[in-house]
This record gives sequence, structure tokens and C-alpha cells, in this order.
Amino acid sequence: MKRLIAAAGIVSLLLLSGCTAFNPFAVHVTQPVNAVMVYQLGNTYGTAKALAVGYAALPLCPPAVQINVTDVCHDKTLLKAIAADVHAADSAYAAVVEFVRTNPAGTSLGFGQLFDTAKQAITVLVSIEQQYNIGGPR
Amino acid sequence: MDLSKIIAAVGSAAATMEPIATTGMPVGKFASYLVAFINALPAIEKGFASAQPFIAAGLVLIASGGKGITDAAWEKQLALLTEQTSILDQQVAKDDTTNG
Repeated sequence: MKRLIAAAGIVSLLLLSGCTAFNPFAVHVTQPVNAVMVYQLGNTYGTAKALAVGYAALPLCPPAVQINVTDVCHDKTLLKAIAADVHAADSAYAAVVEFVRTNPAGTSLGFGQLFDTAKQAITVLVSIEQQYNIGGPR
Repeated sequence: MDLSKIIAAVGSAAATMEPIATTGMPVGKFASYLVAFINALPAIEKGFASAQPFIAAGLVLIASGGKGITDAAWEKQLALLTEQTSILDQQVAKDDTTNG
């Protein structure tokens, strides 16, 4: 539960601060950012989110059940945290797509920051999934 | 695929088999793992089906040499992402009305 609260806290901090400095995987985005990078980020995001969709499709865990190899189920608190991050990532990604579609050659700093923000929101989703082995151990 | 028939078959096979020689794992335990896996299959299939269009779009983009991101491609991608979020939201709402 403590880890879950910590993960939710990270998500909340990112949402509230629009923070671009924190990155769990220390991924550094360099300019220029182009449409292909944005599109592939979206495909990566969709694939990561598909793990969450599969996780959500598992039966709901009974109260006080620890997830293990034979009790395969989803935890509603964790799923709620994932859904909250997904909403943040959706908004951030939509902003990048809007920018790249209206500024196809966009290489401005503003574009890079948008991209970075979207990437970090998606990274948080992936890190939550990794933390809880959603999609299996990696 | 009729999962209930598979589960029943695994259960009856487990009752008659000796412990698996190579691992020493009791057959009952092996059967419970197998049943858990079979029960998880529909969720795994949903996850894979949800990922498939994104993987396909990525491969198409690579095959095109990074060209051809049309308005339709952007719209389709955004629609798929929205659909995934909707699935998650619906499950969260459903969980809120269920004990768990």
C-alpha cells in the first residue's frame, strides 16, 4: 500500500507541477522533435496502455487478497491510480499531437517541452506497470 | 474455446496423474497454475487486441521510411487511445460499485 501511495504521489506531483525535471528512467529528449517521434511515442503509449487494459480485464481482487500466481486479479486502487495517470498522459499527448499537426516542422523549445511532458506522463504509466509487474516481469 | 471444459479436463487429469517427475511439483499445484493461466487468457487476449493496432501502425511507419503520417493516421491513433481510456474508466466505475 505504501508503494501504491508513493506511486500515486509521483503521479499527482507531475500533474500539479507540470514537472519536466523528474524522469524515473533519466530519459533525455534532445531537439529536434519531429512528427515521426511523436507518432511513435503515441504507438508506444498505446502499447503500454494495452497492458493496463489487459490488467483491467482480470477479475476484481477480493478484499485483502495479495496478487500471486494463482490469484490473478486486478486491484481497484491500483487501477484507479493507473486511470488517473492515463488521463494526464492523454491530455499531454493530445497537446503534442495538436502542435505537430499545426506546426509540422516544429523544432521550437516549446514543442520539445510539450513532448517531454507527454513522454514523462507516459513514463510514469510504464513505471507503475513495471512496479506491479503488470504485463509480467521485465 | 470452451474454457470450462478445459478447466474440467485439467482437474480430472490432475486427479489421476503422479507428481511431475522433472520438477517434483505436485500435480494439483501444477493444475492450479494452469487453471489460473487459462482463466487469465481472456484478459491477455484483450490486452493483446488493444496493443495490436499500435504495433501495426509502428511497423507501417517503419516500412514507409518514416513517411505517410496522414491526418487519418493521427485521428485513428487518437481515437484508439481514447477508446483505451474509456475501457479503463468504465472498469474503474464498475469497481466502485463492487466490493473488492
